[in-house]
Amino acid sequence: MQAPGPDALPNSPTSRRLPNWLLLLLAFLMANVLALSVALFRSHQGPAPLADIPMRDHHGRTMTFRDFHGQWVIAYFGYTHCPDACPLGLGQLTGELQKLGKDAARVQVLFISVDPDRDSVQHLAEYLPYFDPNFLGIRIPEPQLAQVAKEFGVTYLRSGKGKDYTIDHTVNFYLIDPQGHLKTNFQLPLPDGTLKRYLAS
Amino acid sequence: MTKTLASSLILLMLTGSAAIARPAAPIAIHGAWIREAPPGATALAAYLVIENRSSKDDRLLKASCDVAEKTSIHQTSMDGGMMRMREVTRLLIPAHGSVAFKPGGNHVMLENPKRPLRAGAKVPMTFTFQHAGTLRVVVPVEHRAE
Repeated sequence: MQAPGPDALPNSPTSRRLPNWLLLLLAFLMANVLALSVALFRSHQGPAPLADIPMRDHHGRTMTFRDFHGQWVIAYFGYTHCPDACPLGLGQLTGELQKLGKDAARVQVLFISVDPDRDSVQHLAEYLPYFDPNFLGIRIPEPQLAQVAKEFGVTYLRSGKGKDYTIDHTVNFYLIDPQGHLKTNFQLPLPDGTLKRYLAS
Repeated sequence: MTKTLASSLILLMLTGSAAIARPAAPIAIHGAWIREAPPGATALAAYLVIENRSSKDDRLLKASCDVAEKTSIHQTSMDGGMMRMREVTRLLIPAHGSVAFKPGGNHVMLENPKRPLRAGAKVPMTFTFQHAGTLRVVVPVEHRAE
C-alpha cells in the first residue's frame, strides 16, 4: 500500500471537508461538554481522588485508600498526644459501633495521625487497640498528609513550642462509601439510628 | 438553773469550736476524675467542677500534680469543626458561680506521667486560688467512654 504523500490531502474530497471555523467551533463545544460532564460527574460522585496516596497502617503495611474499596470507612484525624478530643472521640465511636450490632463489621475505622513526627507506626500500634482491636492507625508523611487533609477539608495547626506541642485539629468523622467516595462528615454523639441509615443508603 | 447555764455554755463552746474547725469553704471541687490514657499516650486530662460559694470572684492560678511532669489548665473552643486548645492562666471562677471542666471542653492537662495511670489509681492534685488559697483533691483515674 502506498503511503499517503504530501499530495494526499489535496486529493481527498475537499467538497466534503468542513470549514476551519466550523471545526474550531465544534472542538470548542466538545471541550465545553466534556468539562461540564466531568464537573457533573464529580459533584454527583463526590471526591475520590484520594485513592493513590501511599500510607502505612499500624501493622506496618503499605497501602492506599483504594485498599478499602468495598467497605465503609470512618476516618478521623487526630494524634496520640491529644489529651481530650481524640480519646473522647474514639471512645464515643466505639460506643456508636456497638450500637450498629453486626453492621459494625462493614465499617473500617481509620485514625489518621496529624502528627507523623511523633506518631510512629509502633506508637500507633500501641495506642489504637486500646479502643478497638479493629481500628487502624494510619501514618501518612508530609507533604502527602497535607494533601489528604485538604481533600477531606481537615485543618491541623501546631500550637506551642518544643517537643510538647499540641495540635489544633478538625474533630469531624468522615464517612467514605464502599466506592471510595466521601459520603458525609459528622460529630458524635449522633441521634440514634443515624449511622445505620447512612450505611443503608 | 446553774446546771442549764453551764450546759448551754458547753454547747455553745462546742458548736463554736466546730464552726472554727470547719469554716464554710469558699471554693468546692466536685466530680473530679482523670481519663485513663491509652498505652503510649503522654497527655491525660482531668475533669472537674469548681464551685465558688463566696460572694467574691476568685481565680484559679495553678493546678499541680506530683505524678505529672507538667500540669496546665486548658480552655478549648470550637471553630468550624476545628478544636482549638489554649493554656489559660488566672481562670475566673465567678462569685456564686461555677466552672465546669468536661470532655470536649476545659480540662487540666497532665503531661508525661511519671508512672502509668491506670483506671483505679488515685492521684493527688492541688489547686491554688487567688483568694481561697490551696485545695487538695484526690482524683480517681477512670475509664469512661465520654
